[in-house]
Amino acid sequence: MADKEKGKVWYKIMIDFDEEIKKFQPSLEVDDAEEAIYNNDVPDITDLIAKIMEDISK
Amino acid sequence: MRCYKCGATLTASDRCPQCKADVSVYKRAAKASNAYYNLGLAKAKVRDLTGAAESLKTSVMIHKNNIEARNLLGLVYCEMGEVVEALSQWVISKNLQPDNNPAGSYIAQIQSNQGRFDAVTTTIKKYNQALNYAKEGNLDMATIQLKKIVGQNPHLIKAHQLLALIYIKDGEYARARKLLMSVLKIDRNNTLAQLYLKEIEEAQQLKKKQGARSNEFLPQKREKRETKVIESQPLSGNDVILPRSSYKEPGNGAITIVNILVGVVIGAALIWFLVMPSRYKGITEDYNKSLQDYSEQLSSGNVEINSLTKQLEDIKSEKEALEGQLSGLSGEGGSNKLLTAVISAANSYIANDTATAAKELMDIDVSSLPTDDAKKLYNTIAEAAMKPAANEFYTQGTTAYNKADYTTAATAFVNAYKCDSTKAEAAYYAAKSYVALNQTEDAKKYYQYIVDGFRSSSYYSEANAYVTSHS
Repeated sequence: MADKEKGKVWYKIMIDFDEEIKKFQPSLEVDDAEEAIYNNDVPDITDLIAKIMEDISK
Repeated sequence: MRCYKCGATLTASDRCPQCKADVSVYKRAAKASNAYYNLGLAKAKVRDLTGAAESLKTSVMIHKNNIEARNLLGLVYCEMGEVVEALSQWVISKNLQPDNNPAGSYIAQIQSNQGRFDAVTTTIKKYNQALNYAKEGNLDMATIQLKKIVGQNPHLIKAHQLLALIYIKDGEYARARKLLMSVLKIDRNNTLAQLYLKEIEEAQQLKKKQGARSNEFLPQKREKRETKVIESQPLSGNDVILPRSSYKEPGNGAITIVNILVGVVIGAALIWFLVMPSRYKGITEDYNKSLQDYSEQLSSGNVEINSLTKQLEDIKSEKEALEGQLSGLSGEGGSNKLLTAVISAANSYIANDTATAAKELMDIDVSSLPTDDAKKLYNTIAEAAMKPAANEFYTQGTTAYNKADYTTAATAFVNAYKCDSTKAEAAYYAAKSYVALNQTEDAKKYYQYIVDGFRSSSYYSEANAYVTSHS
């Protein structure tokens, strides 16, 4: 919570603008879509399970 | 469901029917993914888009081949204004399952309206710009950008949220509330929107309380003195104090109409004197420019015409030269024709027909034959055939002359002279035949041969007399 100077504004603002603005992330643009699609090929949990099962069976 | 190892369709058994791999844990993970998908679907149905997105992200994180979850996640992103994110999910889905996949039709729908897609992606770019402005502290620029974005892409929730945050910072709660309410229409349980709304309400309530408390401390007699008690809110930095104006609107309708008419006349005059000249100037400039363009086209066209005319003339003279060469080859005195005649004469000579051979050769000028071999052949045939042919022609001519057939006689005597140019009598009787035929010029020609070549002959004096009298 931030207090502003009295005489100008005399209520407390609960939201800290600077902190809140940090939470906003840029949106995915068309130029970045290709990279995002290629980087999406990460293992999911079933891939991890399959790997674990393989290691166990070895 | 397919086996993670061999891709075979799984049954109720915990072992793959094909590769016999243990798929029990895999199946449980896939079931968990489906559970999250169902949760996401239920949330999406009640428009809790934020919640649905979280559940669906979890679902694909557990099992990335969960096509339904991925497609629904794309739809949720699309509804939240994140079209590029949606498209990415659908592309990945289509890649994982090319056939029988609704993602294909979603992608096709997006691509079919390229104009709208470009407009939406532009708003996303502008949002990122506005976010940068806001982070740098340039809130005015951010506000301008975000106002445009919310108008062009009303579904871009992030833009609404960011603009609402800026309005809250500036104390413009009414505008912030309006934006947040529109967010909640799209995404019912949007956490951020609800948080900001709560903050706005608390701030406004606090403001009211503060305002009421400050009014309590005003002294009573001051209130009594004031004839008009106006409960005014405390001034903020944005308020502007204007002096009370003494201007009063006229009540008479006629004056209003007159004012309107005067305004119309002034407006018309302004248009006539200010706008029309520049318009005419513009039109004239356009016309002059068009005229200039046409003149340039015309002059370049003329240049081209001149160049083409010259080319045509060059080609014509080249054609004439080639025609000349061609006639030289195949014309009357052409090399081809000459050689053909020599060959024909050779054939006649071989066949012992000296008269025909001589006829073929008598009109050929040996010097015009193109090759030495042709000249040699000519000379060989001429030596053998010309003299006998000349005698034959002379005999024919004499016979015809005695029968008074001067035409045949003239031709025969001429041929005889051609075959043997030493035969003075052939020239003499040819001239005599032409005299009989009244062909003076031809007669003169052959008499002239005698005058030029046979001075010592007995025909000279007669020939000379004729030529002299007819010169």
